[in-house]
Amino acid sequence: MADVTVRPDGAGSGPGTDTEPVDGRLIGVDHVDKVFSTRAGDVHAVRDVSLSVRRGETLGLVGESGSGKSTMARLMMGLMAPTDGTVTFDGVDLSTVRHGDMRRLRAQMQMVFQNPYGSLLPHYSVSANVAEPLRLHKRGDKRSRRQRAIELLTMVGVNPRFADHYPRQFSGGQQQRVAIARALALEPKLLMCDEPTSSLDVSIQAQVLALLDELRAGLGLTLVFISHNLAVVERFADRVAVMCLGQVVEIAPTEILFDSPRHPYTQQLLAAVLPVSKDPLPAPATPWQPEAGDLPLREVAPGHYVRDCTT
Amino acid sequence: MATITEEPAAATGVEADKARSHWARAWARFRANKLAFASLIFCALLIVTALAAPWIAPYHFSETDPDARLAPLLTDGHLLGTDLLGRDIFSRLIYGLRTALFVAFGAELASLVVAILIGLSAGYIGGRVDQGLMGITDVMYAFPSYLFAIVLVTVMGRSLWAVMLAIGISSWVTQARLVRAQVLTVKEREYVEAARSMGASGMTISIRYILPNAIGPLLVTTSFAIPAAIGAEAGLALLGLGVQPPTPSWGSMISEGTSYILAAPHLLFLPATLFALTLLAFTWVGDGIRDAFDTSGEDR
Repeated sequence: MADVTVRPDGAGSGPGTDTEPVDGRLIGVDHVDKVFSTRAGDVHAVRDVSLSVRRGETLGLVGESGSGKSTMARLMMGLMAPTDGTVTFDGVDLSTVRHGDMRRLRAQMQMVFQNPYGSLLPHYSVSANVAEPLRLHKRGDKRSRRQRAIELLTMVGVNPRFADHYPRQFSGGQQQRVAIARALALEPKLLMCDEPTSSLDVSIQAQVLALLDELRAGLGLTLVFISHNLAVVERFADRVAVMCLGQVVEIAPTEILFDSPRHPYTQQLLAAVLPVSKDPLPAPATPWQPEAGDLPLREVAPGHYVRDCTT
Repeated sequence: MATITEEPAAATGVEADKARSHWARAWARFRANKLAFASLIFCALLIVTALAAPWIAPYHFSETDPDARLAPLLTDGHLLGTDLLGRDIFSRLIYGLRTALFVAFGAELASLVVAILIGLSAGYIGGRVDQGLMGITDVMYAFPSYLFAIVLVTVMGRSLWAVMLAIGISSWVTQARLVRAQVLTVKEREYVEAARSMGASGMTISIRYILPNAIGPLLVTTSFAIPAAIGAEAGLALLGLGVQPPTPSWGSMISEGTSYILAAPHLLFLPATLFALTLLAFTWVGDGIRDAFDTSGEDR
């Protein structure tokens, strides 16, 4: 990158200092770019993103489809390498971690996927699915793993009576509970939720969110919660980052972001939500057009960063 | 920590039926198919007969009875008659079955192993490995398989192993392509990425997660390849390229039988009928397996 695009006004300086002193962050993303080379040409999925996830917080990541949210999730999980920039987990630069060590490191970061049925092993019973991460990381013996799987299933509200049933025999909401139990089996520090409720209907969404809420409080989890559902993020996240076309255009504590969005894209996004009780936020008079070039994030209020724009 | 309130039983979304794996459901569907199930029993009988041939057959396949040459059906001591040299047809049919099944199962088992190894590596690893392995496969595919078999048997001699190799070598190619195609599909499923995010190794992912979910169609093609291999063995024997006489093969028995079709029609019709029945039964089993694994409309 040609220039440092983040101007921290205060604590720390240099790369990766967008919001946070280095020691408080579980994940640090510094000036990360991801380019996918396809036959049709390069796709710039993520451009110059810097953000951090503090220990114990829930970071919401919102944006429209194709804005690079899921790519960010995979970059933060070390499932793909960034084209440029660094991703750190617990202070370790993921690009320097060797293959075998990376697999061990994965015990500390687990992921819940959008499609619960697709993410569970269809040929394993649900208890075997939940026990599988324990088996992969050689925790305990077969019996203790099964025991633990049943405990976890109970914890997430799946009747242990159905422990030997197969994923396809469960409803979507139950499958997502199983997927969450599996993600928690290794007692990870980080739970990455990539649109965990978007394939579920509204009442089941509420149940799964309530479950996640209880779990993060009870287990002291750090969560990254990716969603295009603003209402869910508003209720769930401590801080929110808004992504558009691979860039983070605004990061702020949830309340501030929803009350006084600064970036025109955020304003547009919030205005697009059909409100249940409040009046809709006014949309900007002229729709915001994405701009070329890497404009910097600027701190407009404590903890509230907005990407510069000319409009 | 507090447990989450459990949903009422009616709302758990779990089907009322018992926990059943993919395989258990496939077996249940197979059982429900009467023709396939009856064929399976017939095939099982054939296999048992072939295995127990030395105890079931009243004579050794090369034992001649000079007093009863070309004996008709229901001759005393030779239930199904004898051939030109006075060899017991019933015994030779049983040993012929043994040859056919040994060659067919051996060839298909070997080709299955090779196809899984090659298809799984090509599909899962991809890139150069894929190109290399599929290059070899395509070259093999371009060879006319019967010609290849004839050359092999000629070079290696007419042993059981040569015939098996000749048949197996033309069979693994299509299977390997099928495995690769299946693996490419299954590889994109979300559970593979989920497994990676859990910290599973490539070995675990490919063998424990991808293979079991990619193998269904392969079992179907293999179950159809078995009767095809039985046919190929008989075909080679008919051309005089089967196992070395006097080891009986249905193909060579049929070939001999055509010479005496007027004098002793049972020499032709007995092996031909048994051959047809065997092929039919194995094919019907294959049909049943295909339908059992065809989950369209049942799985989500």
